[in-house]
Amino acid sequence: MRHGILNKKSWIAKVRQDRYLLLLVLPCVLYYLIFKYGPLFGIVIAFKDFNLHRGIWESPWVGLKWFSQFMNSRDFWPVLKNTFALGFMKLLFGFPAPIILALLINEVRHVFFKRFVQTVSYLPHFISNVIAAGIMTMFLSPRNGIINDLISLLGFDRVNFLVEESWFRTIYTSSEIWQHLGWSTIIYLAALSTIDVQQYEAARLDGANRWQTTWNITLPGIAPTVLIILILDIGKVLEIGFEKVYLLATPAVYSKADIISTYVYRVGLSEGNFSYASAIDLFTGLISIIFIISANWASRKINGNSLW
Amino acid sequence: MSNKSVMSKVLLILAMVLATTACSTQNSNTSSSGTSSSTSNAKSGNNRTVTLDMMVFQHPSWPYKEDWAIYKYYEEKLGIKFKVTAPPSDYDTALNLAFAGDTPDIMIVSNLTQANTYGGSGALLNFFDHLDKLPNYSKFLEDHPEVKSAILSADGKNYYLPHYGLEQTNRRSWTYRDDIFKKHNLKAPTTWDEMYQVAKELKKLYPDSYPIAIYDNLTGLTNTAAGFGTWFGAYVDYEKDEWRYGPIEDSFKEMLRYLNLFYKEGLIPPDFMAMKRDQFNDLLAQDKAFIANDYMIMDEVPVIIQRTNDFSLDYMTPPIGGDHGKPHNAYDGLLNRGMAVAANTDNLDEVLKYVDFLYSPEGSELATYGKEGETYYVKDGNRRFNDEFVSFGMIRTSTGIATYGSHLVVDMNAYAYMSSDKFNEAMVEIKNGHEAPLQPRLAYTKEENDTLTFKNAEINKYRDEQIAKFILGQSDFSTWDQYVSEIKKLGLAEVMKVHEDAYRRAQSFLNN
Repeated sequence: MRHGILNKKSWIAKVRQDRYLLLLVLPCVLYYLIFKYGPLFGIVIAFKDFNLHRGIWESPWVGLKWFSQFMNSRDFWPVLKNTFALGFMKLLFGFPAPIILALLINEVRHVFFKRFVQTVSYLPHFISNVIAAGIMTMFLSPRNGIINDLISLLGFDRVNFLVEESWFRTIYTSSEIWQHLGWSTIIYLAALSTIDVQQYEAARLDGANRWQTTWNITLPGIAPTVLIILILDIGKVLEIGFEKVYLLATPAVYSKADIISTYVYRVGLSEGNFSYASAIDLFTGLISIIFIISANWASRKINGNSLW
Repeated sequence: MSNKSVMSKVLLILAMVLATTACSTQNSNTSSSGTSSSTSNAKSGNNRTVTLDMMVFQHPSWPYKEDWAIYKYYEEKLGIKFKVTAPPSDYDTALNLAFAGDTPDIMIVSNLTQANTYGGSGALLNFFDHLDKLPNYSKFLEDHPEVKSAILSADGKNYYLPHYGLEQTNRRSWTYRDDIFKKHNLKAPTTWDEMYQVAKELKKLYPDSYPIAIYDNLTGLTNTAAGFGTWFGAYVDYEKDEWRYGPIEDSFKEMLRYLNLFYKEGLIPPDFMAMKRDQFNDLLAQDKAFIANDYMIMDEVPVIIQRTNDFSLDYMTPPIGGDHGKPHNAYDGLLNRGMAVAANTDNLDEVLKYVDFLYSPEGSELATYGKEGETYYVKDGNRRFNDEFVSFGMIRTSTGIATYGSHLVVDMNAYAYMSSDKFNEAMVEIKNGHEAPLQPRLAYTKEENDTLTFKNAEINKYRDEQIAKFILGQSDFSTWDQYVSEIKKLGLAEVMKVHEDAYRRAQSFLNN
């Protein structure tokens, strides 16, 4: 029966045949249906004056009121600018960092040391943002923070990092890199392990040194992965987590630290203005989509690698 | 084959677990079985027990326990059982979900504005429609006119039942290390100039200290501003019967000048904005701060920092700041959280019976003490809680007395013997003229709320940022006038008008 022509089978039989595979994928499908697609219907409240008790359908339509309110608010430009600035800084420094680390780890021959570095670098990923911000606050403290102790040891003046607006973006970006560097490295290490060993051997026979093998074999080997991650990351430029910014910000640095998500929290969620919050989120979602589509298009034009 | 079937079972279970967790997060807090005891055969005199669904805010220090005795006593007394849900975190979201789905009979609301928002949309019961069944509540409002003004909605309805009693311990206050002061023959400062002198003195004695501890962004300004005769926000000046905005007044600027001076000279912690309570406690514990601006912490802190023998904090009369200063602490009055009832409750009579009982003398006594022989005993004519309860907090943790949902009125004097004399004397002291007049708690219409939301978002952000910069010396005080005009430009007049209107409206309700 197995070598009968498959597409002649009824779909019930197909389901029966692949039941274990389908069962494997079921949780994943359910997850997306329930948590990602289900709530999409809620987007309509961005165009309504949502009232909890009356529910989504009973609330009156207000068209683009919330969008224009956001764009006309005094905080619109600064908030947008800060979000982009943080997002691009994170992309600029946070994107190459794990690639460099992966290449370095890949060059290490000592297995134990390799494992050790990997473990240590991806542990911070599992720390909650609250703890991470707490650690940052302690390290950066002008009273007894380890970083300021070092600075004064070298003979410089202590810096009150968390109330100096010029420091905020640097602090945020470096804390993001510290937290997620090791974790992002994993995917590149996986990509590195798929490169054919014979290529390296051939290169060595031809007299290539380490730099040349890295440049001519390793990098081209992981290029598709790098590009795909880059496209995804560009789409995430505006998706800056609310938590850490909120926890690290003090009033003195609002002019740099007020971003879209903290604004939504302040004006929308904490005041129970869900329609406004949804409208702003929809707005950022649209920008993200434009970003990701353009990045994908550019990448396809340049070298034919793309997500779709 | 057997391997396969085991595998498939495991996967099936996994999928089911996932699906159920998904469902349970979807409709969290609606674990109620729809209508509770829907067989309402209202036979009078019939002792049937009704179960009410109640959703309460959970205080982390005394989380809800199912076997709390206090609810047992209510069941004995009133024949009402409670099915309590206490969402572990993010109460407001849980409450929103409950409104969107299956609303509990009774719920704790976070503040008056929230109650009025839900009430205005028809979700909550207007208690004024049922005063005939609430004799004790009516009497309570008559006896406490100051409370009555803080529970109304913009159209004079009442969706919010106030908690009364617990707010007494919720006072902000200045405290100081009286043992250290004695040791060095220092006097507690009564003005901000003396405060400066004393702090300099202490800094000399303890070079790596920051004598005055304020912390957590700008929250410390609330209490400090009261000492300068102003307020950290909009407030009503009862003497002139007008609304004013504190943060643009000269006395406020005066306060910022002091704070800026203290910051420059290392008399307040340089990272006071990023500091949280733990670091504040550490400063006190390590003898690196000697004057604190927080709540009435003289009994708790020594226990928390495990220095009950060689560490003493005492109440300090609020220092007077500037030319218009008063020796005042700020006081919020009533607790923000209140109780509300679902408009569509199936057990209206029982709910009203319960809340009215809590306002009755008998009910508040039960809510305060529990039951003789079980939670307290009588000794020399005084009621004393069981000896195993060493603190008020422990009574709450073990019995549920004076927790959200189980009380509306408690008599704080019942617990006073458990506090130190220092604490009790400070309470008397504060109430005797060391407290700024209570600010009204107002109800706003939907339009007014929208104005406040959007205008305040912009004003507060700008205000906090500039205030922080004045204190840190990043802005010079010569730019003060620009700061004031910028605040005005952001629509301060509209905001003040909203407060003014709401205030006059509330007064007109009260005079009727």
